[in-house]
Amino acid sequence: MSIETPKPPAKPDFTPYHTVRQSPIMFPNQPHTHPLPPSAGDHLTASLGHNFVTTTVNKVVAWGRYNSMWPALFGLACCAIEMMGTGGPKFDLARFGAEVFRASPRQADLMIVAGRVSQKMAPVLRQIYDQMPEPKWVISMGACASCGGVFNNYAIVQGVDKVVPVDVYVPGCPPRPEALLDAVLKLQRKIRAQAVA
Amino acid sequence: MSEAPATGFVEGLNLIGDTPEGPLMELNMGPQHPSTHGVLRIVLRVEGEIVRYADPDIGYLHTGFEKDFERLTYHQAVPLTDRMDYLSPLGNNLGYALTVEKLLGETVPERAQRIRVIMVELARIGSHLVWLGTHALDLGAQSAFLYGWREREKILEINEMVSGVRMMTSFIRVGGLMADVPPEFDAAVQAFVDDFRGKVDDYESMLTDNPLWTDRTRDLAVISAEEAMDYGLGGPTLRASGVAHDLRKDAPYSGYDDYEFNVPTGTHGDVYDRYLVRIHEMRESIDIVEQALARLKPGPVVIDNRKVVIPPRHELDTSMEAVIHHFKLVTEGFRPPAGEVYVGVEGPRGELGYYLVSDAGNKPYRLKVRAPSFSLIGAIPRLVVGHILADVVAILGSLDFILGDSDR
Amino acid sequence: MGVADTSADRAALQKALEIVNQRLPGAGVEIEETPPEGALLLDAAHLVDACRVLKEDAGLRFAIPLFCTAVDWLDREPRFDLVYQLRSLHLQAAIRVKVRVEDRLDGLPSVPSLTGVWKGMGYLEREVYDLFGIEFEGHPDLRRILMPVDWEGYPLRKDYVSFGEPVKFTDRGSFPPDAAVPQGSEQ
Repeated sequence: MSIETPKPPAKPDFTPYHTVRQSPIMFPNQPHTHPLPPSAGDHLTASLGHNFVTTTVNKVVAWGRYNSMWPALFGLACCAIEMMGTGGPKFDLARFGAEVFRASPRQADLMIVAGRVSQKMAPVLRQIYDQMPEPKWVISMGACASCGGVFNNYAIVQGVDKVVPVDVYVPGCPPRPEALLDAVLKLQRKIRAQAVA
Repeated sequence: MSEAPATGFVEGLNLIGDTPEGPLMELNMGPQHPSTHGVLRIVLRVEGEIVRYADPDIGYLHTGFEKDFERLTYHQAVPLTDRMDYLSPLGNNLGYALTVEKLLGETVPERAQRIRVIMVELARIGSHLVWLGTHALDLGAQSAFLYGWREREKILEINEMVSGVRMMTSFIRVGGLMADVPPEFDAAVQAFVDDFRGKVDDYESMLTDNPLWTDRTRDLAVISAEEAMDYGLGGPTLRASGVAHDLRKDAPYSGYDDYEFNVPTGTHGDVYDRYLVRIHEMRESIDIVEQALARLKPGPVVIDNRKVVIPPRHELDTSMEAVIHHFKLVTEGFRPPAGEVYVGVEGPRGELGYYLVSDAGNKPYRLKVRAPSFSLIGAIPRLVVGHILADVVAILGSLDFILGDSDR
Repeated sequence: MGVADTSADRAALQKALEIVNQRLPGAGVEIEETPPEGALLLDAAHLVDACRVLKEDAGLRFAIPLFCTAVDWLDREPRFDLVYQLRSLHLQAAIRVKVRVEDRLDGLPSVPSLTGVWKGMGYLEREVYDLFGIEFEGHPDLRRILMPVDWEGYPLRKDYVSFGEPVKFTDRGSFPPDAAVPQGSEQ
């Protein structure tokens, strides 16, 4: 008795010149094996494997965006000190591209809300978020920014997502610098995933 | 004076009024600003570059601590105290613990006092390192920020070794400490002590005689001792104006009278003197840590009162009484006698005080925290008016206030 | 020693009592003996003069205003205890000064301001106005300092409910059990 194995799908007649199998930027050393039209010259044929990278515009743009996210300075309370520590020499946020903490929100694309947001500060938070140009992302750092933290009273907004949309939440009081780095890396993966569209 | 709008914002730039020299422009500094060291908003009115009027607007970090203290038991309030002056959380813990212990009439054992002193002085050094880093960063010396954080990471590692948490340790509790320190503590602190004095010399060599630094900070925002006292200022700011007042010497607590250390004072009361006083304070603090470490002897780290401190874990297996004490303390807490007490400790910014009113219940009836930063911010208008905008940044850095402390 | 020795504070309190009663004979100042420390009890009419004596007398010199706060005794008449703490470097001691303030049905209770005596009282009194609703006559700039300018209510009063969000458990309603879960929210 033979087991019916499903037949592989029929190959299209025309092989596309530029086929994206994987992102060439992530795996630059893998050779590309496109079948080429017979009219290509030998020199070009030989060099096509390693002198060109092929990709989509979306992926390149996403790569540029996540590899150089500029945080807007939005340290409010204790989490700000750990955020400064993450930018400091031991944990070094700069090696992931988030080198410059911009004071002006007009020049930033990542807002790390680090600390407790009081009722008086909430409109300021919204205004700074509105002043940032698109595309922009928000990391809610710490328990107070994510859900109000230990403070459930008249003065603290119970979670910054009541005011701005949040991409990544980081628990902790304050979160370790490694946790904030993990959040930044998760956000980078999120941006990369959103580019495949 | 324009009334502050409801959102706390001033829309755009306002040219208001005319002085004989020219028009006055209203500028908004903060609350999101790299140099205000927190969420401080200052409404400035400038004539050209010179500030003619300054009105600090605080409350952007108001957390309602004092209201929360009224609904938590005395033990539950300890983690909350960490988060007020968040650069030296152990200092807040200590002030609170001393206040409640004063009301109870208890004194913690000697080993607990010495470890408290070590941790609080390390926290003070950590706070001064952040001050140095951010103050120098504002004035352009970016390396000081990176150097300060390199040292601060070692202090945070010691915190983590002792309590498991880098910053908000809640290590100093009512009745003693959270637990005894692990065996690696002595070696780690000694290594830090041996290394740190050379590092402070490095920072001084970078800034103290540097004309770029002295030009920006000498003779700036001079405040006399009488005026500083009138505003309620204390700590390094008052000492820079020449008053040798340090609560660790004048009203010693937790065994501070056992250690030999100096109280650095300045002569002019300007921004440069405040910088120098804090640098020297770091050296004095490391001396205190070394002395406390050398005199550390084995012993208990909590008081022997089971009605206040929860019993050690191993006793819960064998003693019914220990289980009952543990249960009552965790669910209900202890009830100190009725009364009112005030304890002030020397924080990195000034006198950090706790005023506790107890009605013999298991929660404080009123716990007021005397925040040194609140008075420091009150003195900003006096210090800033008459200087140019670039100097405002230097002055704010030299005061070293923390908004978590002032806004509570 | 574990806690600061308070005998200097107690001696300073006695001395302050004597000197104030000497310089202001009609004031009738006394010590309120709340354990373990006491406080100097003044009335609002003599507050400014007594504080000026405390600050300027050569034997006292309470030059540093530490804090100004209030305690809300909801079931007592007068309702508020206005508490000041002052430090003297001359005596190396700190004392507490109290004024009892009655609540008013038709407005906010009012006390003379001490900004003429200590400049630091400016911010300290604003905080009490903001959180307790006690007005200070003669304060140059009395407005809210910690809460937003248009906030209604005085949060640290005992009858101000510190609303928080009730924590919603999907299987058990809300915690604390008597908290009202907002209508129309999910679960």
